[in-house]
Amino acid sequence: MQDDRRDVLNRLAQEARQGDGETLEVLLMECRSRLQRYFSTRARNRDDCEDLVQEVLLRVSSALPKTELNAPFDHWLYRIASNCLITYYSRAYRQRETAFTQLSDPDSITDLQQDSFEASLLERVADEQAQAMLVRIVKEVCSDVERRVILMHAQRESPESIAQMLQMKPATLRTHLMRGRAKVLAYLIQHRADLLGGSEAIQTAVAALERSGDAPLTEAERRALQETTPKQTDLRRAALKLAKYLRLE
Amino acid sequence: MYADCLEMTRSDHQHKQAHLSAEEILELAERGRRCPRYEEYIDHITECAVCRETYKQLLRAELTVRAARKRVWTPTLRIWVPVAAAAMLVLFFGVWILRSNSSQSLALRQVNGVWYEGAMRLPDWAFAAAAQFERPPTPTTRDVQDTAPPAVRLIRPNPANAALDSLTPEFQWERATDAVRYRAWLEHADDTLKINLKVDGVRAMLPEGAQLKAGEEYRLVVEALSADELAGEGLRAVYEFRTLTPEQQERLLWARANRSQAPRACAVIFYQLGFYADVLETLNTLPNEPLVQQWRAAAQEQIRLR
Repeated sequence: MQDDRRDVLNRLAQEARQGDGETLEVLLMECRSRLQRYFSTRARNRDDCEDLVQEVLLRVSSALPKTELNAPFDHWLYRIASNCLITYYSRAYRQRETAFTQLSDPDSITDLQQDSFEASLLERVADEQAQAMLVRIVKEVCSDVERRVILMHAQRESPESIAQMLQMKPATLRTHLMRGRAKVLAYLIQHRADLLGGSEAIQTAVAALERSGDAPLTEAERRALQETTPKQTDLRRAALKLAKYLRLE
Repeated sequence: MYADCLEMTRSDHQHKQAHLSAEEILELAERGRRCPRYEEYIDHITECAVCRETYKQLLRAELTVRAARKRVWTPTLRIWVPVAAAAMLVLFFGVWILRSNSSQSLALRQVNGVWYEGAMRLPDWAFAAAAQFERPPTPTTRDVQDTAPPAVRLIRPNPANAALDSLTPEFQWERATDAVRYRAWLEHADDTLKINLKVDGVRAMLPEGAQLKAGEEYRLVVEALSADELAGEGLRAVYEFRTLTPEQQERLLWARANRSQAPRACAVIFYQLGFYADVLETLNTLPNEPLVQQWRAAAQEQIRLR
């Protein structure tokens, strides 16, 4: 039912884009009821609600003919509506919209943004087939939350944006991201060392780590790198330390 | 490139082939983890860039609305909470002052010519007593010589009271040291009458069929006799009482029945009738305000004089 209505809406939008005035009227009528529902609980009073509806409808009618829709029409409509809402409140309080960093712990955000020593391993993969395989590994070894965090991060979402979308604190996000990465890297070292250039490449990474002056591997972590059934916590710690010295082949 | 790559992995999930509707994304932005299909929606958003972009935009708007509402409420509360607290404080002290200064005027009220103490309707004589509560008696300054404690200590009726609540009273006293038997009798205050009481251990009562005259004064004499003492040789204790007239008995019964509803009127009635122990008991139910303290002092003085 909902899909039918969306289809109708998309079809009306396509026709309206081509200059059909009557279809545009019908489309705007359809939009009006949705917008009224959206703004009625968000605007401060009924008059403002009506003003906001009018403003969005004006923007839709003027922008629609000039816009190439790369998203469903209802998405486009609600993006305009939410933009108007943000502007409305920003105007009301004479300040810009509240940044997410002001709503939660800004220190953790900064900390996470500076955490670039380990650029996502996924980002270094050039080959599409290898990428798909890595995505499958992520899905296999990570928890749901870790998977979401890693995949969003791989799609160049900023840490604060991911934290906002998943409604978690930046520190929690960082934990999930690090844990997920550790699991993926440990899996690669243990089961798909060939993707990293084989055991020789891993030994080279160990040597590079030791030369770098960063925290060296402990004895347990060294053992975990060599054993066939290592203790996973040791292997994951070792994998995180080696991450920036490893390259996907 | 990643989007393409991710697209390849979603072919096994029907819901991932299409975009979420804007309403579904709005529901997710509004309700977050409480959204019934949170897992499904967020999994889709993780992999679908279009829906994610819409989700981010709607989420930003939601956060802006919430922040704006918070900005409205916080200053309002900052003003009204202290004002409300101050008002409560003023009210509390106001009530406290009223209760301590004008308890009598608060307690007594007239409705259609009828007087009430609290919710208790007062007979005229009780109203007269209640009105007298504002004028407590001045304690006498008579010195009482220190006397030895009585040889026999009366338990019942309460020796603190100056009157008997019955015309056929029963008496009871504490066992005296060395006493093996007791004699007890009542004498009229003018010595015109003597009634020997029927003694049973430490209890005594009037002979069968006898009763005291109303509104008269009597002396109770109890004599404790040791094994080798004869009648008249033992230690004696004397207590003075008076009996109530029928009208006084009626008032006593009323006061005892209504002391919790009309404590001020009843305390005065008890005092007038000579039931000082009852006066103290009734005053203990009232706030310890100056008038109550004066009435308590007066009752204690009367007990001391006995």
